[in-house]
Amino acid sequence: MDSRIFLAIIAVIVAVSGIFLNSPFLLSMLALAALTLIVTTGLNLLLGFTGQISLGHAGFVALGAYMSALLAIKFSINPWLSIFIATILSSLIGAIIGYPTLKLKSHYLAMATLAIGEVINILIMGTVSITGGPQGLTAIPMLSIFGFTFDDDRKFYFFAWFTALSLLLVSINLTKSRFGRALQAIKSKEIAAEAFGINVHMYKVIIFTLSVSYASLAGGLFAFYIGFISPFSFGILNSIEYVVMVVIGGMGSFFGVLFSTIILSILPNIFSGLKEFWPIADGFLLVFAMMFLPDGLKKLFSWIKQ
Amino acid sequence: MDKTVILKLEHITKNFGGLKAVDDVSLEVKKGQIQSLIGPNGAGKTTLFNIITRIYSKDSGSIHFTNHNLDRYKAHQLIKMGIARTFQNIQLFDEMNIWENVAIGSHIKMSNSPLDAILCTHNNKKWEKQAKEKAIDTLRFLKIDRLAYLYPKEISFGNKRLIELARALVSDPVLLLLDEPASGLNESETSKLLKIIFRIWEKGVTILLIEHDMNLVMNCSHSIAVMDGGKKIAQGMPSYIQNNKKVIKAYLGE
Ligand SMILES: Nc1ncnc2c1ncn2[C@@H]1O[C@H](COP(=O)(O)OP(=O)(O)OP(=O)(O)O)[C@@H](O)[C@H]1O
Ligand SMILES: [Mg+2]
Repeated sequence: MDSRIFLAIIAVIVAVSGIFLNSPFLLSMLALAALTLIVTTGLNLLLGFTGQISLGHAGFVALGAYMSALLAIKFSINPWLSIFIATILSSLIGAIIGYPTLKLKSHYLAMATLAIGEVINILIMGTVSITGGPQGLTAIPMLSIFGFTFDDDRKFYFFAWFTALSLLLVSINLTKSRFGRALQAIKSKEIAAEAFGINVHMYKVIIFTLSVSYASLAGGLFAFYIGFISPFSFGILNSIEYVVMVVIGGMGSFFGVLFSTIILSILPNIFSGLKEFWPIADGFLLVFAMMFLPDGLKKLFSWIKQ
Repeated sequence: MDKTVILKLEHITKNFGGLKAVDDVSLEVKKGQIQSLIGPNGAGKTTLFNIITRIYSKDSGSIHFTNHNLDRYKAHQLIKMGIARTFQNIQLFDEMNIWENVAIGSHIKMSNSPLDAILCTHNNKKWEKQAKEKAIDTLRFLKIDRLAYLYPKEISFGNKRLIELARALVSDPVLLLLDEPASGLNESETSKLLKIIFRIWEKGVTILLIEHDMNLVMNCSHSIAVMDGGKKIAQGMPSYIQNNKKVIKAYLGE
């Protein structure tokens, strides 16, 4: 079955759930899952397709969240425009960071991106006068368009899923072309890719930048939806969680990652009493997936699609 | 036949630490010819290929392809100029099927943009369809189009070698560098390969061939260069090389 038909089926399921679900708790949880899906879809392009790790993506989500919130609060810029500007700025920062770091090989890249994520977090913690530091940033306005305000969970649910699935479609289309083949070539044999005309470093930087823009956009939407952000939502554990989602979903499988993202976003909320243990569970899941499910949920989905 | 020089190497030297892998090698490849490069293991043949294709930097010397100084180009720019290669240690992309592997060879010839891809434009469909057709046509040329939808891990070693070749061919090379295309092939596969090499040559492609299979080399080469210990020790027609004392000594030892 074509991935796009599969995507259409998922869109219908999402829409029907949005109409019939009545619990604000569930709607809000699923809306947040959609925002997470934006991040993991971007990370999947980078990690799953191109084979380049980032252990600092929560930092880029934070960049998007803080920059768009601050633009709206301090400069009274329209929230949509704030998100747009913040996404552009984060992408620029992503490109500047990506250019040198993507020359590094696997575990050095992992360490560099981990450090970058932490530096962003420390900067936010430290600049109390601007970001509110550990206290966080409050009174972030709500998103509205043509007098229609996203003031309840159902409205935002639809908007978040519409955005996430649109970006999923963009990513699927992109990877179903020569560009997707180029990325996979880089992932498996860099030298051969280079010999066949693929500018490996440039492609890596572009995909990194794209995945940063996805992360930043998700961050911006998160800030305006929740109305409050603090550095604790964007730590190293969040970065690792994104990687776990991509690995469990099956690197390079958009639908596998869609499901792992939904499941892993929902589980900690259902077992909320065990919240402190979640990072440990994440660690186990990662090890388990690496050992027993090297392809994650990918196999399952290629089977369903047939 | 046009006998002008298409690739000219002058005094190429490459050291790995204390090891002189390539030592003052000069070589001219004439347009439309099959030039072979032979020599015992570790002679520096593959290293020379990696220098030509800009994967390794060289310590000294110069390389000209037609009238271009290759120092001015990066590895990924060579395919556009018409230089394609295969790898001695097979370098297929494991996560793509065979036609997709082969289609990588047309990547830079395609002009659908990322935006075309995202929006599924007509232009995108046209180029993608063309790339797939061309990949499959090339597989058909090698008589292995039945493998198009399999993955590298599902096909035999001999066929993997042919896929390497297909991927290079699809780029419509002017100069084709083949690094031991017959290694690991059985006798019948090797004789098929010989025919294929002739058919490629008939299309006007210049070929620089590294090969250990003497039968193959003696049967298809216009000229043979011999390397040993990083140095070029002889060059000439197959009949000359066959009886050259230095060459015999390099192969048989003392
Ligand atoms: N990247 C490298 N680093 C260090 N030494 C290398 C490297 N590549 C090749 N060498 C050394 O350079 C010498 C020439 O190697 P090369 O692979 O060019 O030989 P070859 O003629 O292709 O041999 P074969 O017929 O076995 O393929 C060898 O001694 C090899 O060990
Ligand atoms: Mg070799």
